[in-house]
Amino acid sequence: MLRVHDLTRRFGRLMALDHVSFEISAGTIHGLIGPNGSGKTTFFNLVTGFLPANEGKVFWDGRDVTGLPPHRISRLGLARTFQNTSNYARLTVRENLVIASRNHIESSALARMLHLRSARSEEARHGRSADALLERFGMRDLADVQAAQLPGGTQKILGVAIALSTNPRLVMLDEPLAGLNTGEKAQLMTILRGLCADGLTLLLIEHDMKAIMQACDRITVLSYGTLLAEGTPEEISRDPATIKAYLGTEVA
Amino acid sequence: MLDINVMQIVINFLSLSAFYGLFAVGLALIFGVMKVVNFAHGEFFMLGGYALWLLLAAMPGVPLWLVFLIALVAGPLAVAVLGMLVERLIFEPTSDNVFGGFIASLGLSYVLQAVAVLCFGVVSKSLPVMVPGQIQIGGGTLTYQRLVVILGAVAMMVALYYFLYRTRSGRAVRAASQNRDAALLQGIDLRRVGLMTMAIGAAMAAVSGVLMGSVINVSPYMGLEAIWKAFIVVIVGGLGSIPGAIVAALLFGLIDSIATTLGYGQYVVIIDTVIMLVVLAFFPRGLLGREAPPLDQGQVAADDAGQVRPSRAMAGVLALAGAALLAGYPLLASPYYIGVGILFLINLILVISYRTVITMGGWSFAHITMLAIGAYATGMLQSRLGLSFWAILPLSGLVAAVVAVAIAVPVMRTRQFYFFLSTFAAGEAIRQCFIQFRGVFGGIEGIPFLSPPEDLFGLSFMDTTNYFYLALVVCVVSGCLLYLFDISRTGRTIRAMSENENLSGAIGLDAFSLKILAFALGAFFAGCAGSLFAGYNGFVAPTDFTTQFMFKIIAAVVIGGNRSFWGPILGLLVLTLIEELLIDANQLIPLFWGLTIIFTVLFIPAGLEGLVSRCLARRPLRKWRPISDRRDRDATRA
Ligand SMILES: Nc1ncnc2c1ncn2[C@@H]1O[C@H](COP(=O)(O)OP(=O)(O)OP(=O)(O)O)[C@@H](O)[C@H]1O
Ligand SMILES: [Mg+2]
Repeated sequence: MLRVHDLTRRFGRLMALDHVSFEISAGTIHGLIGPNGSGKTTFFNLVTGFLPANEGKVFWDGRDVTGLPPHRISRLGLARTFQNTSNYARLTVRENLVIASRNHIESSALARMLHLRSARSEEARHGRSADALLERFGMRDLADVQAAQLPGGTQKILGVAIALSTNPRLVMLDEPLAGLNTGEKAQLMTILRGLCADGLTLLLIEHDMKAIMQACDRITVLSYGTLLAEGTPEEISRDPATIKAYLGTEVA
Repeated sequence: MLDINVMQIVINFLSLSAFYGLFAVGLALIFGVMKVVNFAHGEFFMLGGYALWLLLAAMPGVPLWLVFLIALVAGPLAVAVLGMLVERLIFEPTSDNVFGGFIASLGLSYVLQAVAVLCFGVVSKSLPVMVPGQIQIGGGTLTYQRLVVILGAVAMMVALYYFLYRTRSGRAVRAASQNRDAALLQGIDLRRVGLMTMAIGAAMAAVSGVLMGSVINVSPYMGLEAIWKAFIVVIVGGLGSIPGAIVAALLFGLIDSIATTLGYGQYVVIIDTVIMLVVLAFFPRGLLGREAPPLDQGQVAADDAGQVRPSRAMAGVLALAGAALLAGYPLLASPYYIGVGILFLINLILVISYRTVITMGGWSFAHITMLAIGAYATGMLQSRLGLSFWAILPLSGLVAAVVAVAIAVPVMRTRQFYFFLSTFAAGEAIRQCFIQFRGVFGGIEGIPFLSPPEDLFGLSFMDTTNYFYLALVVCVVSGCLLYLFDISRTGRTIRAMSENENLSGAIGLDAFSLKILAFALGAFFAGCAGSLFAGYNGFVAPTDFTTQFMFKIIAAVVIGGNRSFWGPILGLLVLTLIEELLIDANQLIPLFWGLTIIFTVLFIPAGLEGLVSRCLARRPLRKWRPISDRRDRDATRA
């Protein structure tokens, strides 16, 4: 579904990503792990068009999407979240999701600019879908709360909900569990597995090994920008290079 | 005339670059450390010029060179003290909101100009040449005065270099400009560094003022003319980069010297701007601008989150009452006040449409230029094509929108200060086009003798009362359309987008197009206002579209507040009242406007609208809530 080929990005002399190639197949939960600074977020930024790649190509459904701007990537059904909380702080939770429903829009541009009935009723529909999504996240009663007023963990979850509102087929999550408490973590993982059962594909960056090993179908390991290993959770947990990379950083 | 005097080009190049460099490096230094563009830098320069003039007047009979030397020491010292005062009173209190600091410095610039006018008069003073004489070098003429400028600039650069790289304080300044947080951790006193930087930057501006005082005439507005060049230089060089400023100063010195020597001196502003736009199109952060994190995000102030707004019904009632009041206004007012009313309505269209531009996250300085384009389009379409005013009115708006899109394409990739400064430069260049391309636009005289709109429904628009109603209708229609846009899904999306551009890209919003939409829409209505303006005046003159006019629009938005649709209207009302109350002492108007701006930025940052909604909420003061974890670092970087 998503395939990257020789993806490379340098920051000055630093090789943040060095000829990385792998593939994510539809309907799976794919994990992307690696020590701090190994290039995971850079990978996201390259795939979603936030940074230009120095070399390499990104294929989405067989189509070359390298170098497309972020909004074009998003419109193709590839959503992402950010490592830090990211939302529209001044808007309410529901408004955040409605804004993020842009890819569902069918009314004409003029109707949306002049606040005509067709645009208004469409927006109301998007509001109802937003409520349905919030229901799923157990945040229905927070719909009218301003995003800035939510606690940090809830804002993180809101980020995932925003990504899901964009009508994606693949969602790339950058450390969604960081900053959540144990209960929230379990809840979010259940939701994510449910989404996957509904046919969504997930790419998950995570430092929480237990969660990753339980949830993922396949795992890719990065270290210093290079692809270290790839395989099922069992294979990865036994892979000597991976163990060394993680132990190495712990010693350092 | 193919006999080009290369030596003269070189000499002019050196002396121009010296002046640009001296002036712009101070600006770059201040930006580097404080991250704020000091708009009043030009006024520091002007004060340097006046220092020389004052000393000349105070010491008759003393040899010129001695006065000159004294001025070179005393002028910068006095201005440095002023600079430190400005740092303490304006930049330090606004250090968490650099854009506020910038707007306040804009206010300060007007205050200083007004003070200069009050103390010294509007008329420019021509000073005697301080260092008379000249030498011939290889066929070129170098006056000693220019030689002094060149030597002075070189001396200042060497001194600055020595200070920055060889002294303890200089190292602190450099550390602070590289990374404020890290500098703080190292125990550097940022307040002291700020004071020092402002003192040095202001002194450098004053030195160039003293040096240039007898080359160009000293006048209250000399700073405004000079700062334009400094902006171009620091934008092209890269904001905050001293080497960048020097490189760009050399570049523009060369270009300007070639253009002037070849006899194209009057096109310099236009040429420079085109170069700037080209550079920005490829290097949105200037030639040597430090590569900031590629995904850095403008600051998000969740300041008035949870603010109470007047309900929509209440706003509607107030708007209706306002419109009714305006409709009855000509029945009560004298012809003079009907004229004031017409201009008020035109300004009203301008501030409302300006707010539409701002919602996309950039403060344009070219809005009055859009008014000018509308006015010129009206003049040309009427005098050349003989179209009816009623066709011209929307066409003028369209022309302005098209020009807006054209300049937006390079400019819109820039952010914050770059956007403001580059629109400032682009606006000035377009105004220069109107003046310089005499054959097309009529030069400084503009386009005279426009006929008023054709009669409609038996109403003649020669009659000012009828013209007032015409303006009112256009204003109400524009207001309603822009209000609809403001509450529409697209309008709200644009406002949200400006708050978090990264996220907007990730959810499929095309930020670039949305910004251009807001910019062009604002320009369209400003262009229509320009058409009304031209029709009312009966002529179009480039001198009507001044920086002061632009300042009024910005002031209205700052004073009123820009969060809601109504803020700028409130602000314009206040400004117009000040203007009419001070009608007999109109030199005081810019002074009061400037002071009001500074006061607003420092004490009511949400503007009058914030005050009003606070009163409506009947809560004396909202509980202060810390902005949850550094939201401005929304970037995707780890
Ligand atoms: N915009 C940038 N400019 C310069 N260097 C960068 C930039 N973004 C990332 N880097 C560097 O690239 C390397 C990889 O960073 P990246 O953010 O991709 O790591 P990561 O795997 O996401 O780490 P973490 O687990 O801490 O989030 C790091 O050394 C980082 O310092
Ligand atoms: Mg990361």
